[in-house]
Amino acid sequence: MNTFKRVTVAAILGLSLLGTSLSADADKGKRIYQKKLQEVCGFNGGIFAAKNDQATWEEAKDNGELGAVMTEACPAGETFFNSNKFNNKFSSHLYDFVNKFASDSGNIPSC
Amino acid sequence: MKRTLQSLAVITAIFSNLYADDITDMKAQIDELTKKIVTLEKKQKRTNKSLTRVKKHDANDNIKWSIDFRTAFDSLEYKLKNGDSVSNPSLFTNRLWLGMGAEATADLTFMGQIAVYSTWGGNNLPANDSFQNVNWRASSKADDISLKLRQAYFVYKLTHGDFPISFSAGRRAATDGFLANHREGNKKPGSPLAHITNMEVDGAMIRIGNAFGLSGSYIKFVAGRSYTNINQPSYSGTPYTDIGATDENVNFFVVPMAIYNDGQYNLMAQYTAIFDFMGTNQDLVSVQNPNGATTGAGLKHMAALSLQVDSLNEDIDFLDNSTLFASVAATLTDPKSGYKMLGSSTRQKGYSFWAGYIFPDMMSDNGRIGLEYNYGSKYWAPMTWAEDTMSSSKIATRGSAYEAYWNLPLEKGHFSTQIRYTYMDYKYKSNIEEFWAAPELQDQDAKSAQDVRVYVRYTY
Repeated sequence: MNTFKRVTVAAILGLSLLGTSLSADADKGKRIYQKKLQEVCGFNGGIFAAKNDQATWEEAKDNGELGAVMTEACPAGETFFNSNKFNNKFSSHLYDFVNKFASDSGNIPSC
Repeated sequence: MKRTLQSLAVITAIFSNLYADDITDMKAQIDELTKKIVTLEKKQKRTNKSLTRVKKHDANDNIKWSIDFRTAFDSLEYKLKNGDSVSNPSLFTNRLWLGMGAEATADLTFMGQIAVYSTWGGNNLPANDSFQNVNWRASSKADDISLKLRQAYFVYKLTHGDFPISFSAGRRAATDGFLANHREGNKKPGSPLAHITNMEVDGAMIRIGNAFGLSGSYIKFVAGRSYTNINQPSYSGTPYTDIGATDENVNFFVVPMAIYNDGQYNLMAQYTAIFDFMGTNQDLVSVQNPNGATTGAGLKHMAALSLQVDSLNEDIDFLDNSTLFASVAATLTDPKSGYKMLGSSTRQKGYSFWAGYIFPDMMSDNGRIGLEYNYGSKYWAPMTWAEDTMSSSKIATRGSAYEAYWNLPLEKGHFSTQIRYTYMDYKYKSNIEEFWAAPELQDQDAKSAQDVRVYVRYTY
């Protein structure tokens, strides 16, 4: 078991040095909203996503205006939506999240 | 006057000549636009007719369905205390969950699930297993191809505002809960805390949001019944009663709570009390009941505190997409006079620790590898009687359990696969094996168990 532990730790450390290739994820988008925006915006992610329908969110993404449309939905988050981290790291996950829970998505939230 | 009119006529003729082409063009454009409007009006009429047909067709289709279908292969091996070894090298199962959701109003929703969990080749499970189809695990244990009700409950939002309150009642699959979802390849956890609860339950619930004034906090109060003691059939003179029997209804009260959740740190806790729980009574020993097993033996308490951390460091991709969790839990059995619980006539405490680390596999989009370890003490007795592992409940291990798995989503997450290896090293009898009995291993009990599982899964 000691050898197993050493090999496991070495493998994890080795893998951590490689870059990841993770595609967009609505659940990650929800967590990003909770961590970065919920307190700033003053309402939960479901309300934020439902500010627009799917077509509006999709058009914003296609036109490179996702940050601007999200700022309209939550003006207090403008600094975040203009940040490099939003543009380079978080926008795809947040888009997946708002698209999944947009006003016309038909998704029923679990309770 | 005549000259003025003549001048005007000449000017008009000149201008008409000058702009004749433009006027002709404008006429042509107007004609074209008119044709387009007529075409659009016809299309509008056709669209309205189609919408009416769709509306008539779907007017009473109030349920949104979802599908979760899994085919799995398990290879099981057990080493017994007496040195023997038994195995099932290839067990194939199908599991189908048909999810139902309906939102009658913004404040009133229904959620349900119908399930089939069958072994390939039909039902050859022990006919004398009286617990095979019990209410608390009917759709969680591999059986035959019959449909079972896994979940059916409504949620009614009573109040909104700073402390929103909702009420719910019905049947819930309290399985694959918080922290257990990773090893099951589920993105979202069920409810409540998997460290002490993995059962299908019937009950009612009140949920209060923002209960502690902290981010993401809530508290739930759940009351239900896991066993009803009816021994009179429906065709008797007194249907649905219990005459001359010695067992009792088994009721429970559960308080799961989210203490803090900011999207990175998620701290949850749960307390459970089970009344008139299962135990033994020497006065009830008979040919049909050689152990004297009965409900009504005493009170059982359980508690757990679980923490999950997502995105360990958002500036390092590998850590940003890693998840770490740790959980501690305890159980206490308190038998009544004349009864035993876990083979003891006195109170017994049990403890458990569970930890896991899930990280990107570095080979695929969204593939993740998980490593878990859990330890349970001699009298550790969680309510994990629905199946969390084919080879018996990993969480209920009294000893050490080690696990590694690789979850690989494909096709935008609608098709996924998992390879999982679980090894359980028993110091004492597993809690779900003769759960009323003393924990010491007997010769025919398993000393260790391992399960290699591979599944493919379709979800939509």
